[in-house]
Amino acid sequence: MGSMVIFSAGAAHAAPAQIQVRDWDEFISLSCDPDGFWIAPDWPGSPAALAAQLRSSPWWDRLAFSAAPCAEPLLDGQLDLPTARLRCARAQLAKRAIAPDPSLLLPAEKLLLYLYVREKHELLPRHERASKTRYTYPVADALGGEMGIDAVGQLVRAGLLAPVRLVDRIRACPDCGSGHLSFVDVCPACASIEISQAPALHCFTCGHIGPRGEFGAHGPLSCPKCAAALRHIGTDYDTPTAQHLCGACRHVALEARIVATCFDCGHSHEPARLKVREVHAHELTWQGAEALRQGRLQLACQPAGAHLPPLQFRQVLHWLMLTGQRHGALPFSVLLVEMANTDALLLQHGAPAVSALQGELAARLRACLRTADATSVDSAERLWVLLPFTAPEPVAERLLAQAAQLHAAGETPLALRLRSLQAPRELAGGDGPDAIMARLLGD
Amino acid sequence: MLYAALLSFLTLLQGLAASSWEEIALRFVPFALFLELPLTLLVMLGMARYAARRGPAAPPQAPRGPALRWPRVSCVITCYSEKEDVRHTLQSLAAQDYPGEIEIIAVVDGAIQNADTLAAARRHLGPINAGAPRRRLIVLPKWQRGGRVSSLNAGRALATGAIVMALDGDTSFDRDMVSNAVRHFRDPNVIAVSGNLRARNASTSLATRLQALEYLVSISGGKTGLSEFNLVNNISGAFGIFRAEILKLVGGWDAGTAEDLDMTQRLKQHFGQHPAWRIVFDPRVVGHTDVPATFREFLRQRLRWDGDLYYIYVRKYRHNLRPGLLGWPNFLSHLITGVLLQIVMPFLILAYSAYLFLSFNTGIVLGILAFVYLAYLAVLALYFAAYCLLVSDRLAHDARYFIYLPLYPFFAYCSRINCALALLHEMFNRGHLDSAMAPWWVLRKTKF
Repeated sequence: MGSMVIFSAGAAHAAPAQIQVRDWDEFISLSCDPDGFWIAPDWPGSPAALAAQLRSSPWWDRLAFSAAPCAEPLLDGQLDLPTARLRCARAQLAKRAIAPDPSLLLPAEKLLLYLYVREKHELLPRHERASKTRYTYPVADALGGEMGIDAVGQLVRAGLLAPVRLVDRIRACPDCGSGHLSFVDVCPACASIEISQAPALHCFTCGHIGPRGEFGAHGPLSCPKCAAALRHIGTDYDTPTAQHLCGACRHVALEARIVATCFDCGHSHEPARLKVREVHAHELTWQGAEALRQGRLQLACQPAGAHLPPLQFRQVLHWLMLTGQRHGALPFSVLLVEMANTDALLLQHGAPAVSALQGELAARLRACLRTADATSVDSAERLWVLLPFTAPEPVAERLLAQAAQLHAAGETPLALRLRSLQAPRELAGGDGPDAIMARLLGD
Repeated sequence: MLYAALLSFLTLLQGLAASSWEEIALRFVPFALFLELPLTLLVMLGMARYAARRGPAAPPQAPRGPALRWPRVSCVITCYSEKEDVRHTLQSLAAQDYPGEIEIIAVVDGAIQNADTLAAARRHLGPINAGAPRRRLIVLPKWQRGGRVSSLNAGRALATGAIVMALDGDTSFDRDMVSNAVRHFRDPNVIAVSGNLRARNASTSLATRLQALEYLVSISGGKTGLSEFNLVNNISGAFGIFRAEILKLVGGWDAGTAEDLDMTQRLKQHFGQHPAWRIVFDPRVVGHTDVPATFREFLRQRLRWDGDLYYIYVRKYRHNLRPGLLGWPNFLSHLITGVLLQIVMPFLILAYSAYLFLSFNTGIVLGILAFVYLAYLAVLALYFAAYCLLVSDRLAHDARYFIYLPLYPFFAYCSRINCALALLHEMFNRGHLDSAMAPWWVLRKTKF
């Protein structure tokens, strides 16, 4: 188990796997690599400032707890020291499953990792008065870059984050996207804001109905039509209805019209035209965790042993061909593995079983190959293999043997179709990678 | 007895040629000759003039022209306990062929206890506001019940149209109603148009059939004739069309009962100053309404209507019945058709009937009454034929009512007796304070 850094004002005392410091600068000067952080109850400093410093430091992904209750979104909550130590260790363990080097991650990937090491952690939005979109994700902002709602939205669209809880629903200006709107009721006839709500009075003596102002603004009420003194409500008069009276055009209306004006760009809109945006708390999805584990997010940190995206496969194939043409001997082979009887299998086993079978086949194929071999999956039934300096036949035999094991007794076996091409022997002059792949497909 | 009846009948017939002035005076219901017959002749003359002015029946033309050429019309519909029936009014107004804008203001009085009427009206908000172009529906709930006058005034306060219609909540209208009505306002001297009412539920019972006939005779026929001479006696409360600025001039409707007669009276009071102003009745501006289905309900309705007339002419506008205000034609018309025919004559009929039964034996009385009946029926038949030929636009439908003509004189006679009772009820019991048109806490505040 690694060590914990404890922020405390008290006297330093040595304890196993525990480093006590007074402030952040002291911790920096110690140059250690702790598992996590814990703020003691007697620490006088500001947890918010400490959290900000922590999340922009190389230890940004470490868990940080505090003894006292703390609502700081960049910290991980209140826990006692032993439990905090356990949690931090577990988080570090989880991090080992991550393929890419944490220090090389982009801010979006950092966010995913941050959520990954904290199990079941929610990415919570916080209401920010100054922000244009009114809600920000403080964790995303602290991890670097001005991410905001849109960046998180991109991750959601990519399927790496999923909304788990609706926090708020805000309306934004359709022109500039600002969430700061002013709603004002205006006269439906002339759109002036000089409207006032006036209860209408009904004079019993003559039946006249008019806004309250007509009956004498101050002092005793008297009917403008018959001059009767209206002394007692219910006996002389009543207020059957209320109306809006416009000061500009004297229009009397039952209901006022609502108009929304944006504070940032100044445009006015009908409330129905405003963009409705829902603000959620997000959670890391399984795809996000998988992407993180496989490092599929960024091209630069592709470790060996994973399936290449089709574009990359073609690029590598192209590079091999060019290098071979230029420098002479660079033999390689391309193997196309196709599942031939998918339809029959679908009928027999159903779609989920068949897709599990395809995944298992790809995994077993991967196991047959060496680290330097590249594979690519461009459809559920098709697998490409690039074998540098190797003939395709032995691999094909091994693969067929693996596939033969993949079905239970009495069930339809998985039929594979294998085609291969060996370079430079079978290459025609001037062929590109697309041509090779098309040739294999067409055979 | 029958023999005596026949004898007196024949004597009267015989005596038509030979009697002196006094005898004729006694034999014929005097007021029928001196009051009602001239009026009938005047109306028939008016109907002829209407037909002549209109020319041969042209096929109805749809109104044309850009929407802006047509003024905006605000229809104030007073709703109370119609519940789902408001849809007849709302739908028929939304479906008008009028090219301009129609603003429909449905005022629901006592919206708390009439929540179902309010809900029924609100259900049309979406379909009309979103679905029908140039049609807008505003539903105005009045939480505290205030009566029909307050509903009309509340609707008028919201109305933005140049023409305001005051309509009932369960009347439906012909498709060309608004365009036919608005045409009249091209003449700047026309201040109001009274709409034609037909009984929608005429086929329900004998009572409704007779009332439908009465509407044809007195409204479709009678008002057409009167309108030619600018003598329209009343703009129906269920169907009145006004210029908005005229309503502003008279300050909207006035509290109390008989607000339609009250409004007509106050409009006419400007005729002295503005002799060119006209109130028009157009038989082609058609609305369909439900009439009381039983005789008992009918008599109760007329109890209210006839008592209201006394309230308006005698209690409220006693001092306003003068030619300086009304102009001579309308002053005379009010004197004759309003005061004499509607107020004095019912009592005369009652008195005359009593006198007959007390003075002569039953047989002779029956003979006399039979003669009167025949004379009346003859005039009525002539009148109704004139209406069918000169005015009616649904000839085949209206001509069927000839069958009911023989019953009509009895119907009218009973109506008159009821009218006399109504007048007594108003004169001595102040029946207008019990009106169902407004709640008691509003009615008791009336100055009259």
